[in-house]
Amino acid sequence: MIKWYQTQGPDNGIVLSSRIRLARNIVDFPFHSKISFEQREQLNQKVAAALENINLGENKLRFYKLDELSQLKRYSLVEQHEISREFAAKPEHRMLVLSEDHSISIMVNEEDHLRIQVITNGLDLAKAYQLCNQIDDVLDETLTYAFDEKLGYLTSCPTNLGTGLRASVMMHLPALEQTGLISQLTSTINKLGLTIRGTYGEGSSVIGSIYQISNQITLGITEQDAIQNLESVARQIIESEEKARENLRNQDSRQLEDIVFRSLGTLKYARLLSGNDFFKAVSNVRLGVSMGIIPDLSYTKLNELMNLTGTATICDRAGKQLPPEERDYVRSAVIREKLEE
Amino acid sequence: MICENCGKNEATTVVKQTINGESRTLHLCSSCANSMMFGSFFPDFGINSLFSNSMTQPASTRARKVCDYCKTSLEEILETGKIGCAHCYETFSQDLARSIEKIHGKSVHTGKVPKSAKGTIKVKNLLTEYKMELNRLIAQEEFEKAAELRDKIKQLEQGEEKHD
Ligand SMILES: [Zn+2]
Ligand SMILES: [Zn+2]
Repeated sequence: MIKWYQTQGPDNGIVLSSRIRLARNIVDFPFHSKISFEQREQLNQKVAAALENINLGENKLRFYKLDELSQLKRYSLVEQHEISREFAAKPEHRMLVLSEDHSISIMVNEEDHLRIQVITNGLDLAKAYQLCNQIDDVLDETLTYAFDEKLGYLTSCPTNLGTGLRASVMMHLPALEQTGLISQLTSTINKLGLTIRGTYGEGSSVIGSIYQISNQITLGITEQDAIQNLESVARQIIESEEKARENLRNQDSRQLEDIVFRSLGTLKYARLLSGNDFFKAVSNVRLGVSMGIIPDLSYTKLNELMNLTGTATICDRAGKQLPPEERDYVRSAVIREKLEE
Repeated sequence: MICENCGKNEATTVVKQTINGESRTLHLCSSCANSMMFGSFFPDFGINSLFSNSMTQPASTRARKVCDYCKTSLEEILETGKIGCAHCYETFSQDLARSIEKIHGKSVHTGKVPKSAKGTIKVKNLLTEYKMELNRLIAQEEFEKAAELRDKIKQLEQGEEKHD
């Protein structure tokens, strides 16, 4: 089955993906900081049983004991935003439920008992929420959630109280970054109860001009309002990024073309490509595709490149930990192979 | 050019910073640029600031309180920022209330409700209805019917307590 990123999504020129995550806990089990290994195993079983008869059509769920996945496989999933780094780092007595197309991932025994996550391609938070909500309803049929009328869904960290919902949008903002407008944007966004973060969430750096924008407040706001707020801010950012891109073109279109095609050359012909160099190049190429400078390359292809070339992902495919130079060589080979397909 | 902040990595980003109306340009590496641009803008949700209100209480009263179910103390919560179990929210409701409002700006949930809670909300509505009916029966001096209804209310209320 094709993966979620091998499809087309709305506003793909700027938005890579939309993500919804719900934090849930089950009554009668202590939260993560106090739960015993035995109780964690019970919880894994309860969740697996609750999801046994879920109907998601073709998109089947698979259940993994996290410590049965290799370390490389786990970090490969981190690189693809399927699971959190913290979850991957301590796999004992944890369970991962992953759909075949990788759009659904349910982390069991993360910071909360359940972290239900759905990713969709492009800007489509409503679609992601709909599916996330459906899974939540199915779990709610047999599990009893920890809930308080006043505080909403009870969570391990009070920052998630209420809806337990985190909505986020992954945006490619090279032009806003280059013009320095991004820092201005950041303070505006914070005033709206949203945050802008690096590519891998909290505390991470920005790679390839990819920014993650998400809601911060979960109590006293409905799911729909939180999603709509984020969506409308994302639309405004798209507009400013588009303007900034046109400015770049008007300033010096030849220089822009040069940067774009040099980067395409790097992807096509480099033989030792580090992760950083790759992200820089793919960012420029993506910009070129969205501005019509490179006509015959799809976002789908670029998504594939990004999801297949992470360090852990490359080593996982090779079946072993590779030294950096070997990694860079394999990375460039994978990219060439994909581009020639 | 070398990053002006750490002096180690190659500078890749130019950041314009305005401090007290005076703006300056910094050449930074990507990790310094990131932490400078983003780190400082985030509202500080560090745990100490999160619970700073409750920290002002004398240590002796804080230390004594422990959740009956998971044995987590308030001190532990303040230290780790993690709640021990669902009951902790009741046990420490007063200690946590202000921090929660500080984080979210609001204190009452308005979103989705799970199936289990829909039940209690239904019972609550039913109880209000019954109590109004009871008042009407008493006013009309229909004492026999009122006694029956009073039993029903009692049953419901006991069920409710179990639910909590
Ligand atoms: Zn630096
Ligand atoms: Zn507790």
